[in-house]
Amino acid sequence: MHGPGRGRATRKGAHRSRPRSLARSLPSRFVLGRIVLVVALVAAGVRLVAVQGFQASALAAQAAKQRTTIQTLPAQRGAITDRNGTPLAFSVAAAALYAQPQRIIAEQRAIHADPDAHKQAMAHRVAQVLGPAVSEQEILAQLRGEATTVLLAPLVTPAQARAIQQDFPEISAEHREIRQYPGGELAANVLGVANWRADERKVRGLAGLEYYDDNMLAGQDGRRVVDTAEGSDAVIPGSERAERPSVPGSGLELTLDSDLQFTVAQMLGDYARKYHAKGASAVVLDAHTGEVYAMANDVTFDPNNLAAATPEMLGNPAVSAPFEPGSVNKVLTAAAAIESGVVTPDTPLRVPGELKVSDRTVRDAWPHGMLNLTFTGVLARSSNVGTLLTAQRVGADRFVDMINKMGLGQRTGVGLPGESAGRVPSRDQWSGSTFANLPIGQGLSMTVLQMAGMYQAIANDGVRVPPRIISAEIAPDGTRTDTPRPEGIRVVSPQTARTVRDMLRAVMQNEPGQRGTGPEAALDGYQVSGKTGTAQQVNPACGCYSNSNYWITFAGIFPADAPRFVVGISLDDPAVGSAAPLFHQIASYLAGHYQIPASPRPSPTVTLTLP
Amino acid sequence: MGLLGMALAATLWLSTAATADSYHLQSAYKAERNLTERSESLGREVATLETAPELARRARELGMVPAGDAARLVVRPDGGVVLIGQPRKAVAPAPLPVVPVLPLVPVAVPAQPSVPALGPLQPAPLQPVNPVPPANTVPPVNPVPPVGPVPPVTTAPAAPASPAAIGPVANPSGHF
Repeated sequence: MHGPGRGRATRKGAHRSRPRSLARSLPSRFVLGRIVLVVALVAAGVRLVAVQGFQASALAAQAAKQRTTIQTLPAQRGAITDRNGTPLAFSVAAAALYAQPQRIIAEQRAIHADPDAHKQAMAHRVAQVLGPAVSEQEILAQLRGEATTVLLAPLVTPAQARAIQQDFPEISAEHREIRQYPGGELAANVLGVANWRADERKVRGLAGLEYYDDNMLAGQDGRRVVDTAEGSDAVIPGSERAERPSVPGSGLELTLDSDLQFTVAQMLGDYARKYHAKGASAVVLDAHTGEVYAMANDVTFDPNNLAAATPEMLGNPAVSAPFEPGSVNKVLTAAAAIESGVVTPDTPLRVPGELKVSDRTVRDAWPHGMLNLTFTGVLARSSNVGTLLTAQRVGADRFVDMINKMGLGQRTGVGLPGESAGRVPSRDQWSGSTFANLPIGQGLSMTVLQMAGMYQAIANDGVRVPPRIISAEIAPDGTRTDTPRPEGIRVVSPQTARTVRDMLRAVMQNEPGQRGTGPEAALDGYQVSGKTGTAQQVNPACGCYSNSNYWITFAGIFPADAPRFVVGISLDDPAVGSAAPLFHQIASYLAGHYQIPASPRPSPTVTLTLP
Repeated sequence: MGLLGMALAATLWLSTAATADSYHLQSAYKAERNLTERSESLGREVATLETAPELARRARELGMVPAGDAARLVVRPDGGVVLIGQPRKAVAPAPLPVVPVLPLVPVAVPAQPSVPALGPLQPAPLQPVNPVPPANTVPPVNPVPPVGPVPPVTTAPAAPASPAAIGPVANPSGHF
């Protein structure tokens, strides 16, 4: 209340004390002052209009560029586990360390320090933190080089990066992600591999499931905008404007059992090496659900060491490389014949030594005159002539119907990339002798997975469930979504399936004069059903069937009386005539690992060859 | 006046407390981050040590060998025990010889060839069946198996249980 009054009084006093001469020159000084002020005002106004009106957007953008930084919020890639939750592939965060030697020099000179001494200290600290994996000399050489930006270490843990940055904040750390495959080669052909892509700044799948389900596994990177102090990466606190959070990728739970996978791969690899096979694949399916418990190839790679892998190793021949199955395919004829009732297991068949079909003559693997075989005997001794005679009784229509129901010539949709459908000649392409070839497993091709799928139908009382390898998708929050199970396809009646299964037990029979072709596959205490196969390979040189190169195959059901597993094996031209011993090894492991109860009674001895 | 003073003091105290807490918070965050990283790295280690290949390798180092066919004792409803199979000592698989160059191996006549004596019915070989794969790249190949030296394994320590010691064995021959 007192202030203003006092102020007025003071000013009045000041006016009074002004000298007269000054008062007289006042008008001209006012004019001068006004002019100066008006000019300044006009200048400012013009500039204001220019800046605000004409250059506004350009300047604003320039300013924003100086301080606004878009940061990517990396999404964590989903993990892949086996059916028991054992991790097969997962991601861990890492960092790459960079330095800018020229900037170091400039900064050190600015504070009158020796840049080289600083670089030495830096190299020493980096080597100290990272341990023997890096060489101090190499880092120092890099720092002394001419490059603007040098990569000091491509992959370090976040903790290591922080320890280094604490002492040397001018070293920048960039986000990286490492994909870990703890099992190394375990299931590598199925998993494939994912690696860091410099251009996308992200881990991306390169092969296998990592590639096929990449979008689901990768998730979606988020983005946020922050303000940074000009010329540095320091974020101005409170300036974060989160635009989109990252969405972590979903995980996959496979139907594989890593113990079984490892064992089967080991056994298959040993067998293939022992007999110098050019290639080998095996699958183990659940007899009822068609879930793939194991899928192995003899050639594989270590996804942790991608540099050592060739493109061929990254494939998965078990689904991508079809072959001619040979006698394993006789199950088609057996199923169609029993289903249509043209024969029973005990039907006697008079089997001549050779059979002329169209312009070809088909013989059995062993020379014989007229033989009396039961139909079971035809299968157990793998008689080509007997099978063809039965196939003729079945007729081409029912046989083709069986091929389709068994899923041959169609992809299984197992959920793996590069899957082949195999090849089945369509009916209008048949020549006169095609029907002499298909029933004995030549002239058509299938993958080992399709082959096992046929036997799965027989094991599952006639319902074929297309095989699947992904059992569930695990959302980032842990919610589990089971992969929908494919609808089963009724191939034959339950009674037919049981009859065929029982007949195929005779393949393992080892009685004098009544010996099947695969007694080596038998396992004490268990009934085993299965079928051996040998197929001539096509010689690419002449386009004809080779007489020296064979596919050796085996498909089996274990145990035959209460099926739990179906095993399919194919070997590319091994120096051995049967894969039955390998089936025996796998079945023996299955029995122990899954504690499968012994069959209540052994397989009955049946008559194969009639007098 | 008094109210103002109290308010000032309270504000001062609150802001001091908040600042102190923010330091606590920061160090707690730091501790949490370090612990998370530690648990991640330990989990990684466990995952690696737990895998089947690693377990198998360690087992081999300890001199263990894969068991062959197990013999089984089946308890019958009447209480009798039947031995199925022959209990055998597990033996180390012979180390694989270095695989010689391939075509030298004479292909044995297959024990069970169902080989038809037919020529090819399709002049076109079946090889290039592989249809356009959704993605991949890898054509069916016949790769040469990698020649891996198998580490020699020493002994089989486990002694099999003597069948005689287990009570009534109905079927010692074990043949099924």
